[in-house]
Amino acid sequence: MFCLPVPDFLLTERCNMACKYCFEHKLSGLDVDKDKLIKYINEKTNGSFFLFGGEPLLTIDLIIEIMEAIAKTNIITKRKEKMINSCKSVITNGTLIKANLEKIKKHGLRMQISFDGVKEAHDMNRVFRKGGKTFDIVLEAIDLCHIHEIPWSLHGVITKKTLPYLADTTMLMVELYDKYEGINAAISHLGKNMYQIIFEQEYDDHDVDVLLEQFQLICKRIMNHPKYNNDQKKQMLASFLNRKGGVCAAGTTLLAIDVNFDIYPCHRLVAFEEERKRYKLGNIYDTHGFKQFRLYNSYFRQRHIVSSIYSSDINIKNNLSKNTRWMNWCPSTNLETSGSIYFQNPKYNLMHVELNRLIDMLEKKYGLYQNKKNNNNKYNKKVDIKC
Amino acid sequence: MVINLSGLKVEKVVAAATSASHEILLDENDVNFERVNFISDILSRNTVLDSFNEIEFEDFTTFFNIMKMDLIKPNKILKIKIENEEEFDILSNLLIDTGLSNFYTIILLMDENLFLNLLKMKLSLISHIHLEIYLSKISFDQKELLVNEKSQKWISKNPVCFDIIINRDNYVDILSEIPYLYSNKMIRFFNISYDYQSFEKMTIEELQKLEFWINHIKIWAIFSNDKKFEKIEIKGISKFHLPIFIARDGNLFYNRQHYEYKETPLFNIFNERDEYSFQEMAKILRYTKLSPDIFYFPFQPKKIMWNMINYFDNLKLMGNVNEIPVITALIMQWSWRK
Repeated sequence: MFCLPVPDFLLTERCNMACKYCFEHKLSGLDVDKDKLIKYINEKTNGSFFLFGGEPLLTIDLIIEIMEAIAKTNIITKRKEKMINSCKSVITNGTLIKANLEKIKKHGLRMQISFDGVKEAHDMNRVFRKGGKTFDIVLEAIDLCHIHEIPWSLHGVITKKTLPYLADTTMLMVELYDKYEGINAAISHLGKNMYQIIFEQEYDDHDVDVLLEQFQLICKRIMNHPKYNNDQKKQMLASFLNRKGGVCAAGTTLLAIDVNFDIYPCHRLVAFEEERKRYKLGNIYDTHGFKQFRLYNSYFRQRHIVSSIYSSDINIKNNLSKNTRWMNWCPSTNLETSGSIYFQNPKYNLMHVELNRLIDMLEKKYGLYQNKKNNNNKYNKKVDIKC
Repeated sequence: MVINLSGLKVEKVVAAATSASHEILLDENDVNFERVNFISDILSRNTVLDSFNEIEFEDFTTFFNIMKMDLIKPNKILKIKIENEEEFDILSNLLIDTGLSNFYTIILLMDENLFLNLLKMKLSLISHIHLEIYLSKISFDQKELLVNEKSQKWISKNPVCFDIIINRDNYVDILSEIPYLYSNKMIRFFNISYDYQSFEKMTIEELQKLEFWINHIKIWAIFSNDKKFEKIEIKGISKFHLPIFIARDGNLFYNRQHYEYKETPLFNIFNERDEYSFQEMAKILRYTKLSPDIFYFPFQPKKIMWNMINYFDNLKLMGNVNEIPVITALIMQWSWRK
């Protein structure tokens, strides 16, 4: 069997929702073979792995069975704990939390809930297969997680159509974190990967204007917020404006395994459709059949390149490692959109070049730039970002 | 709701902020931000050829059609394939009338027979135009190249280059003939292109043999540069060099090989549009914007010889046009001389 550094297992190819931007089309409706998965986890992983879907809570019993099977195995305690801990992290759409509350609580699962912000934005894309909207259900789920002390976090997607709601969405997330976790959590999450502006859309100059305007509105709202003191406002602003771009390890340390144990660079490239089969790298039972390895080997060696940016009139060589705030880097989407893991959707990229120019000005306006220049990091807390 | 954002159109702002349930006033003290980069400027038919410094045309007609469009800025290398004497006549008259050869480096690609005919029949015409000639094929037993003293003199003063692709099967024959061509045919320039896809499959032992032959010809070229004789040059360009091939229908390809493989074109120069999808943009921009020298190779050559990079082979061997394969880096290393 093929040993992978950090496998990302698709537990199921079933989902109760049909989000409009989802990259998982034509799901097979199959679940992974439990025995094969447990055998692989026990024998071939170093303890670090991810469980993904479809919607993983549709197979919550499977997650629990895997955890119980690991607990019974005769391996060193530290590794066992690491493996069980890996099982506990669930990326969910949040709609099944209420139905599975007792199981989630009993087994200490942690919920990363997909939440796209205000009702208009969330319900625009995140809908049930039969068409029902989900905002109120997810909001209730967040509340339940808080009441039952289930660890939770939020991660959303911003599309071209939901860009005009960015300020509202940001303030809603701040309010939710502040309400349930306190002001420090709100400050911290403002600098994390709270939401991701989607890569693969046809942005135009109007969208760029909207994004820039929304960023100014967010700064305004934070600075005019009646609840927070000046220090808190500046910390929030610094955290928000300095959100570092993230580089995903897809295709290198992280590889996705579907329900048939086929290996893909990441879960977004799994062959849910016929034409996506070209992204398949191999199968874990066929160590000699691995292909396209060069593409991803070289990416691993050259990750410094991805911190560079492109724009129509900026020389890439002069911009290494700077101006990459808010600019996430997804090699898989790059591959889909440009045919090269190094080349991002140029429209998305240009939008972020302009955004970084605006952020420079906003930092100056709100007195954050001077602090950074003088190495006074009071308002420029470094935050680790994972894509 | 009152919104005043400097630099942004009011209707856009209002449309964007319709969702804002809170009353936020953006006052005069807001940042005076002006856009510098625009999505609409990323790709345009009028500027797409500016990125390249060597443009090869599929044939004479393509050259003629593209030049009429006035899309190519001066100081570029233009390679034109000439099939017969008639095309040469039209082209030479065009070059004399317009003075194009003063603004561009014109390279004519032709076969040996046509070249010999031109030497015999059109020597006075050739002598009036500043151009380079690349010969795609030279028959080694052909004695006519030294047809008379006049043509010998012309060849010795003008850049006539043997333009050859070597591969795993023919490299020994070709490289061993170069000294002969230099000595007997007065060919002083050799533009050697490598078929990296065939070299890639070589064993270590075969690679060592290839290294020997490249070294052999390199050292021969160094020792041949005697003042008494004409200078021999095996062309290697150390300054940035990005080629493009334009097919008859206006489609752009990395090179002729890319075109002949019937691969998807990068762009169409005849197709004028205001908007392009990000996929269309990425096809050509990933080639022009990401220069291979920002990547470090698995094996780093001492210096990049730009004209030795075959971008189509990069794509085939590395899955990425911007990455130089190990075999290319190795051959560059062997070919480099101070």
